[in-house]
Amino acid sequence: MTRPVDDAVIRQLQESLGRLSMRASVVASNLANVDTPGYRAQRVRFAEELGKVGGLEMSRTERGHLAPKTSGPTRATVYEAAASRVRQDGNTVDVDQEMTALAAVQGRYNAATQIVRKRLALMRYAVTDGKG
Amino acid sequence: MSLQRAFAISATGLTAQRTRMETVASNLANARTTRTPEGGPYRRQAPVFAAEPLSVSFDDTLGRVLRSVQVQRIAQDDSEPLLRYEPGHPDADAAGFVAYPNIDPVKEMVDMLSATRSYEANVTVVRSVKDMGQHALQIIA
Repeated sequence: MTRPVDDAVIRQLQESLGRLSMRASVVASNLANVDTPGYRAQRVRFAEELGKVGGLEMSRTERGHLAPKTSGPTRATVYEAAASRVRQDGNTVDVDQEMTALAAVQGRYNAATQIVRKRLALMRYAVTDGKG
Repeated sequence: MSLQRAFAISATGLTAQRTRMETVASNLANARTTRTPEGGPYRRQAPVFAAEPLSVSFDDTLGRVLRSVQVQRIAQDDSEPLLRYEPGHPDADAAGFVAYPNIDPVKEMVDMLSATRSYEANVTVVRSVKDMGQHALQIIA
């Protein structure tokens, strides 16, 4: 697909933003159910995070160097969080852990949007002949 | 947009905790109520929370495991009323005992604090997600 601005970095960040907002929804789900008896805290894991970098080619100077796999659709796996403690009603939501996770997601999301902004600013600079 | 979903889930959490707060208010207000439409003293109320799946499209992996929280019903605490000897009371029985609701103010206070904290946790999520959305909007600014 050709986009007006087809940039590998921006594409990666777009995916990243999608994944981070998924993480935020999982935290929202866990915290909404902080008082629901029997609710098990959820976590989400993405296949891409295991070293898959699509569109960003690494240079290979040795035959033994591994090529990064190309990126497929994001595959999200949701699993039950390892319970640090289980309440008497069977609920495993740990508010501290959820808050930390939320802070991390927020920070990474903001960082990613910042990089997209800078990247676009660079492009604007280029297309306006250094006047943008 | 996936951020909307986080808002929707947290909103159910806010509603649930607010309902809990309302039952605490009702319990404390009626701690000494001896007459009810159903007859007898007031009975302690407690909400029952249930994790409910969201309504999502079929191929949405994440959407199928996310849970909103709903107040399934308001349960009634049917523990025995407290009997106090007050012969002069209009609702006293033949032996002079009045049946008062079995409400422990300390328990209600603890419940209230717990509801407040859980409410705050949900507000924090809403704030963080809102902040994320604002940053996303700044991309084009």
